[in-house]
Amino acid sequence: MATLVAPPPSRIDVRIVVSGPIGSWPIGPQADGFPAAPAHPVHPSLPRLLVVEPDADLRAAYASALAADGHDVHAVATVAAARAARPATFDCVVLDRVGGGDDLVLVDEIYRTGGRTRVVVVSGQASDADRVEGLTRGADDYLAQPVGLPELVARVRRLTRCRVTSSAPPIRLGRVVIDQDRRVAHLDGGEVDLTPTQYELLVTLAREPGCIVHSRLLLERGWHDHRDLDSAVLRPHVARLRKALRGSIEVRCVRGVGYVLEVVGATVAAGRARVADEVGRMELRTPARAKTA
Amino acid sequence: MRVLVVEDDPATLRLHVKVLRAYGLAVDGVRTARAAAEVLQDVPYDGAVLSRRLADGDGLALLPRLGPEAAVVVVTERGDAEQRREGLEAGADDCLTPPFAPDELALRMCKAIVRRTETSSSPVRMGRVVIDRARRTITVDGETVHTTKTELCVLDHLVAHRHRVVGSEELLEHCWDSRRDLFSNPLPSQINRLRARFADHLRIRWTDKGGYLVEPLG
Repeated sequence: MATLVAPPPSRIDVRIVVSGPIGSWPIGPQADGFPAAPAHPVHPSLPRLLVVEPDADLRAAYASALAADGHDVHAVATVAAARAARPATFDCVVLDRVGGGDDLVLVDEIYRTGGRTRVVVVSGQASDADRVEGLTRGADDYLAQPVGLPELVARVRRLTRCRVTSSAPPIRLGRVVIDQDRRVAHLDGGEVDLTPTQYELLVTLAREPGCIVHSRLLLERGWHDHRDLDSAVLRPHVARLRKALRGSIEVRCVRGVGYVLEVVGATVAAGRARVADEVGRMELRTPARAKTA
Repeated sequence: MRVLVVEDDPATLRLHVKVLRAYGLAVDGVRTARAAAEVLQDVPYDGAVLSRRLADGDGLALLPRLGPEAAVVVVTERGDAEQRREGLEAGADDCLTPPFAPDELALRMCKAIVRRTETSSSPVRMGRVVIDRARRTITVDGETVHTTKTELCVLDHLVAHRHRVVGSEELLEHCWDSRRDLFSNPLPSQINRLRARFADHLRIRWTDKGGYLVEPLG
């Protein structure tokens, strides 16, 4: 799954940006008579915000409140001016819908361009039907006028700071790297040939290296219908997993409990302490078995 | 995508569950915070609708029990802007105050889920197929393709995770709600139906890594 870490820089060249009062452009080249759209944000790490609000007082209030919350705000009065500023280049657009029915077209346009611009519509007309229409046409939020500034700021912040987190990070264990997105393990850069069951066992153990994983959990992960299975079923699979990993990782059996994964040569001290602790506790709980073992 | 609705009032709960199901989501509904905490231990939900007024506490207190990927819509008490702000600050994706149209809740929930899983706010394009995950529509060359809700749910989950292999256990967990018969496996038939429906446009491949992968054809 794609991850988005930081907004991509739209221009690499370095130039001095003169930042004016809130709502003004940084000075830049003029194109086609339009006011110059900022080629890159005033501060590259701040989310960029476009406020479209015809009322001058409200515009100033929105802009200052949002700027105070750490946004790079550009405020305009009309939809035409907003269009000229290329709304799809912003992180979020706050649109006050006073101009009548036509201004939701801006929402459509932003939705069609396929960027990651979020749209918040603020509107005096906010019946159930209006809200549903606004949301269906692509707005991320639809607020009824009058809207409290703290709430508006909280909602915009929620949209601009929310980032995608659906990719599982690779697990690194010494020479072995497990790519959870592709369900493969790499040893010294080369792919390890694992069956789906072996992969499941590896990843279940690798999520908590140094901790004992109970056989029941391993059976549940590796075999979906595990109720009738004995933990002995695990043994040949673990053996083959060990062989496939060629000694880079040790999968140790803890008798009567389960298995524990240890990275050869680089065992995490904390992990070892945890194992010792776990084993200690296991022995306390089942002294008879510990003695026989 | 699977969603949990926590709501005190039985009639409202039924309505919310029904409308969210109509949008092609797998939905479970519970009435108390305690019941919610119990199911949250077992099921990795993709989203939750939390009511702030429950018989045994505040729905917002359940927020930390949800996974980091779960999208949360908080339903506050009537007309309280302060509660809405509180919800957003606590980490909810959206806050709603009754009265609202059930469709609005469903749209906001879908949008919140999509914001959590997609970098772009526009529909996902796979070859000639366009899957609009927020509006819950699928089009091929601009023509709408009608699917069942379950098919939509399964395809949506595969598309949401199109960059990786999706295991069948994961699909069963995220595309069916608690009404699923645990002694049957409904997944293969749904996959086959999707394969038949998008035979010319999409390939839903069973990989040797033990899971499905969806790819555009041609």
